[in-house]
Amino acid sequence: MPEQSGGDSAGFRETIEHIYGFFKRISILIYGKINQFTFARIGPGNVLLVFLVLLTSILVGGQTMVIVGPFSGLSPSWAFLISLTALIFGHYFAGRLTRDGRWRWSIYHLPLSLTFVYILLAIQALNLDRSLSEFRLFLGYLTILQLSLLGGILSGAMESAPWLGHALFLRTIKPSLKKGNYHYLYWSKDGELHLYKSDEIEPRWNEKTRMVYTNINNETIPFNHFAPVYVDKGRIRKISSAQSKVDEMFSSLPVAWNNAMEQYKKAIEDGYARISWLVLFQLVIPMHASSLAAQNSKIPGRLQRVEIGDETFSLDWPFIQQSWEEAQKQLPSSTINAHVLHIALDSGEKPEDVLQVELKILELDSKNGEKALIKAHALRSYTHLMLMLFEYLSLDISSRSDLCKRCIRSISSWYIDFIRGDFITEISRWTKLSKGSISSETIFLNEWNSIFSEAFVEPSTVFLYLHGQLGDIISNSESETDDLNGSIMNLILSCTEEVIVLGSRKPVTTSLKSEQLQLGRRRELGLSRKAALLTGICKMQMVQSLLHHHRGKVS
Amino acid sequence: MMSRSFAQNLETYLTQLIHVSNCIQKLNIILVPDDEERCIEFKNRQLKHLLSGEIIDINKMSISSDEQDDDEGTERENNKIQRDFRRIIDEVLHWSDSRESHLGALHARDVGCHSPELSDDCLVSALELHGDKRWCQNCLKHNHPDFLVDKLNPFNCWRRGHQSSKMGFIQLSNMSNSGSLISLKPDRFFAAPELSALLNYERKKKFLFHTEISMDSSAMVAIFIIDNQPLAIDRMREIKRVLPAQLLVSRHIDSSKKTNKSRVKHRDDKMPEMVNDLLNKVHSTWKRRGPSKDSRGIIGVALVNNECEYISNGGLESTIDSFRERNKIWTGNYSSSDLNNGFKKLLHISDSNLPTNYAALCVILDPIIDLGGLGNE
Repeated sequence: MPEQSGGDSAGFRETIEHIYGFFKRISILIYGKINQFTFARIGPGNVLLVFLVLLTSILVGGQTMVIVGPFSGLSPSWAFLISLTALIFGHYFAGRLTRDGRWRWSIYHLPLSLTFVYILLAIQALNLDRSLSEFRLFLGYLTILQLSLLGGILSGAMESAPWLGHALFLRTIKPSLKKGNYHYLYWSKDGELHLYKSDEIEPRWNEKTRMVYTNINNETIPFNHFAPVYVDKGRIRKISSAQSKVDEMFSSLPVAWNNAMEQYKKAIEDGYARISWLVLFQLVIPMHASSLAAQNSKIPGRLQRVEIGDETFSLDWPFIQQSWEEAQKQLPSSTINAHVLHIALDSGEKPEDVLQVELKILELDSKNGEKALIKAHALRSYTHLMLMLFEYLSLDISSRSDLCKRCIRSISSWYIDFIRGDFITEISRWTKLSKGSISSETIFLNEWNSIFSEAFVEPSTVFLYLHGQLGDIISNSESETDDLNGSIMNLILSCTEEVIVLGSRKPVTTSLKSEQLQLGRRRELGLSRKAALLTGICKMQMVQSLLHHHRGKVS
Repeated sequence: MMSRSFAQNLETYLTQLIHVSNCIQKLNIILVPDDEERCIEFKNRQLKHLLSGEIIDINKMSISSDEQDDDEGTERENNKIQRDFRRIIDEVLHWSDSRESHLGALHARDVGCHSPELSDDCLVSALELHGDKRWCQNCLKHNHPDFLVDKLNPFNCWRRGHQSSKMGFIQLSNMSNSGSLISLKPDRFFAAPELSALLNYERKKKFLFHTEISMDSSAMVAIFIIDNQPLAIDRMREIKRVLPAQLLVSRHIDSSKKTNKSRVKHRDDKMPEMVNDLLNKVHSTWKRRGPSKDSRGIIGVALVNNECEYISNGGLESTIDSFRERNKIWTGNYSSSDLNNGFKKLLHISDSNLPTNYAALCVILDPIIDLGGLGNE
């Protein structure tokens, strides 16, 4: 008996859970629908809703509940003329009427006022007797005009409705993705990676935010956080972008369909771009930025090791061809002085907070403490620097691109030792001792640009300025900072010696008599020295930003 | 025969000294030797030229044999270029206020040369002061330290003066006699923050001196605090321990103490030998591996005696005298009480590290540096 009662209660609980789940899904659906409704932007869904409400109120209040309705005694020819004109007008000017706020009265306010009148008629609070015949006729013609206008707008808007795109996407692209055994790579705001089968993801257009979203585990996620990928679960376990395949799928469809699916296509392209930037900021730059210098579209890039759940994959993702300036226009939270990883992740965290993903990159356990903060600042400054140098690589000025390649190689190898060595510990000890008078700061992209615009022209001046700034730290320091002073002095000297050694090499040797060769060697020496100067500037600037309030401009 | 532990310690000490010299050479690239405005300006210009790669070595202006063309006409042309260049340099040296950063175009006076041999009409460039020429070598004969007037570094020029106090140092070590063994233990190392910082950085790997910041380091001095007391005390203790065991008593043991100690010293005193070895090795090391190629090694030795009987009795006199004769250097002998407290503070000696019965052997190293800014490499 107790067993049976236990089984009954389990079954009851299961039923309750089923009901709870059902109502939860329904409530999420209703909430989603309500959430999508907005007066700010008029979409076909809203127009259809208003049309249906008005039609229902007319049928109830204007036809069923009254003996003499607004449509009694109307001239059929006039009614037909008005209806036809409004229908054509609505159809051809649907875009203008729905997007221009000045016409909102004709789509929302007037139909809703008419609905109100018909409700009054339905509850017989208003009686259209003979004494009000002019008003009755006016109401009749106005109702015909309004219904026709809404009908016209609906027929016009339906041509390019994103929700038509949704239907097309589900019937064309989604089956193709499933057939090709493609997956979606989801790069979350926390920097975590997840893989989903293509049929698990159903993108939907949100009229309110004008974006495509998808639901995963009751969580609404922008569709541009996903990118279609091909997962090779063979020996290499490789994930590679399926963007080119998806582009092919879209291009094989008629142009009108492509137009209807425009938002979906754009979301996929944005997702690809976002993940490309994240590969750069989260995987390439912190771990092996030197590969940036070897970037070449003809040679496959280095595979990045990623962990997805309990599994490890090699991610084969090409370097982004887009400029960061262009990318910023697409990304929602882009401000000038923001960390690029924050922007690319679309992170909800405050910009000054250390992200969980940054702690993971820096191999730190806790975000508390001076050291974590200083390391995060160093990582951000370094990421911005590498991004700037990477963007210079694609410039047409070959000497600059060559310089930047050299800088990337030498700074990336220095950075690994710098971030893992004792330097940061010594800095954190000092900032702790200074009790807030010394602070670490991030050098943002625009600041690096400003430093480099001067450094390209006058590298020695910028170098000596920073050299002096760091030298002053040592001269004015106290004995508590002996170790830090040592590291700073070593940095200054190593940077200086590197430049001088390159400058003092003889450009001509007895074996190189050819003028052409001499010129080439001289140019090579000049570039090496300039690269050494720029490298020194970057290193010293980074250290200085961790010890002082950063000054972007050289005074 | 030299004791093994002393030899080992001395080797380590010399390695450290070479390391200090290397660090000074490195710092010489970026630091000013003199805080005079002209020197700061010169150093800035020089550094900028070095960074820009605009290095012209005046010595390399002469054409080496392998580069000479067989054509006689070209050779004549090259000689003419050299003569013209020399004329230009001579002309530049006539300028009253040269703003050049190249040493070949700077007059020796511009770098503070105060050699009595340098007359006003002498056209000697700062570059000519460098190398195996007489100027900086002979200068040592005319300028000597004098502890009684607080003169530790008698030079005022940019090469030896170190008016900026950024590259000088004072290194303290203890040399003690524990009977059978003489030990050498490096103690504290006083230097400007810059040199101290660089040495500290290296300390993580190999540097053993414990550095402390000193804002007044215009000379390069190695001070050895000599403690030769244990020898006498230990010998006396041994006699006192042996006599009762043999049921012997001596009434004269106290009165004969002085004679006995003196006799023991003469028989077993290893201190002069060790000091001689120390001076010779430090001298040759600093001469060979000092901050400049022109380094003369030890340029002076002074003994500061704080009532040390051993020194008063001339314990190291012959050693120091013979070293002076051999190397033609300055030596001085002072009583600690005769020195000003300020000067003792400069030397970082006080009653705590130089108590009664101790003496300090101050070895003044040649502080010469190269003004070229590229070190001795």
